[in-house]
Amino acid sequence: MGIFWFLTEPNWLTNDPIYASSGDAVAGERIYRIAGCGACHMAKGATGNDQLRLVGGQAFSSPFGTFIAPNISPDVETGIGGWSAFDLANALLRGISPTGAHYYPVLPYAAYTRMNPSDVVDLKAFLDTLPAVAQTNPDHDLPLPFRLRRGLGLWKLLFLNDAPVIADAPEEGRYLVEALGHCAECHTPRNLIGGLQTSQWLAGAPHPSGTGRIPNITPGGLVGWSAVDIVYYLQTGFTPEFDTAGGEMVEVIANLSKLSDEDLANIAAYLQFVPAHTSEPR
Amino acid sequence: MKLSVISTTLAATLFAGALFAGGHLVYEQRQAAMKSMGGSMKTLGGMAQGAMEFDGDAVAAALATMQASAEMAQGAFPAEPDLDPNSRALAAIWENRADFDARLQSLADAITIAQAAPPADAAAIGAFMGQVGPTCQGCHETYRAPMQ
Repeated sequence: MGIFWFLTEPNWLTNDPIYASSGDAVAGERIYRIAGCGACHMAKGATGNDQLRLVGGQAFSSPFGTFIAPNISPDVETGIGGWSAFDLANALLRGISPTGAHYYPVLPYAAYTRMNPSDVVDLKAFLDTLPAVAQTNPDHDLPLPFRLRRGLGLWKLLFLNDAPVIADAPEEGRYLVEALGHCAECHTPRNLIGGLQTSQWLAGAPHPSGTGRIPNITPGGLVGWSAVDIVYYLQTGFTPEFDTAGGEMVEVIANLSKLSDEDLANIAAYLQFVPAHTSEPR
Repeated sequence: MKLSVISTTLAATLFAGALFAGGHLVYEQRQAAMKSMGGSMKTLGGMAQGAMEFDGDAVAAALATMQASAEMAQGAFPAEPDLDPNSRALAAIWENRADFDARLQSLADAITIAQAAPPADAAAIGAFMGQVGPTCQGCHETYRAPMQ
């Protein structure tokens, strides 16, 4: 029991003067778009300016139960208005709440653990510009044993790793895809306890809702796609055959379409570099 | 101009015939409609991207095909739920039928308006694509299942 408690201790970041510096909200908006924070944290189906009210409440079903997105608006009581940039960094890079509780990896800290601290500071500055909205959301609806957060410390020992996955890939795109964009969270299959199978990196995965699949986006899946095609898709949602994005990817495109051509070209270069996996025959 | 009207009409007629031949099950008909919609969008997208030379007649033909496809699609979602393992249409369509119909109608309307004043250059096609794209995705976000 003592060993369990020791192994599942929250592993805090070391504080750094950078977290006390004032962030650049404009730079932070770019981070916000790439990470797509709003897609999960806005109200379900929000449109227009309401997309910037990060009140939480959306439900995400998974094999482990139903997760409810929290309020991350700057409201002090019900949101994260009372947080420092260092608090946000511990949440994003280590999956730890300000009180030391483990977050579930539905918050993609397994990707954000690779974030640059300065980007967290800028992101916090941007989040602080958004409307503060008081809204308390229901708790996650999880069966035992997943209801017990302490065990997540073991999950982190196994799967929380800030090393690059495709180490020799072009660095700019690697950071956008592996860290901020957290593309692998949906596009890579998971093992029985929810860890990403990095040997099948971006090779596609069952949809967590239980029906259908999330596409293979390695060169073995995006057969016939040029870098220009990938950029065009991320800008417009149109595939080379002029089918369109659907499901969760629609919100992703809504955010990514606001990025610079350079960022999108870097994402495309990375996706063309990663090892090709063939899609499973079905 | 007259020739282009005739060729456009001819294209739309041939296309309607192709649709009819596309399948006898209702979901096959809507899949055929979406496929030709995509084919026309590909023509327009190629011109918008500069990969294909601008061709006013081809734009008119593509818009006519899109119009026919949209109308075909409108007729291919029956009143009662039509779910099938080979169809990606979700039950949500029939649970929110008014919203679904309104979205499909807004697509048809956008095409009708574009046909009245067709885009005259690549940039104008790009603007049209930028307008229609989110309409396509809006429906596919809510009413189409992920790939199998």
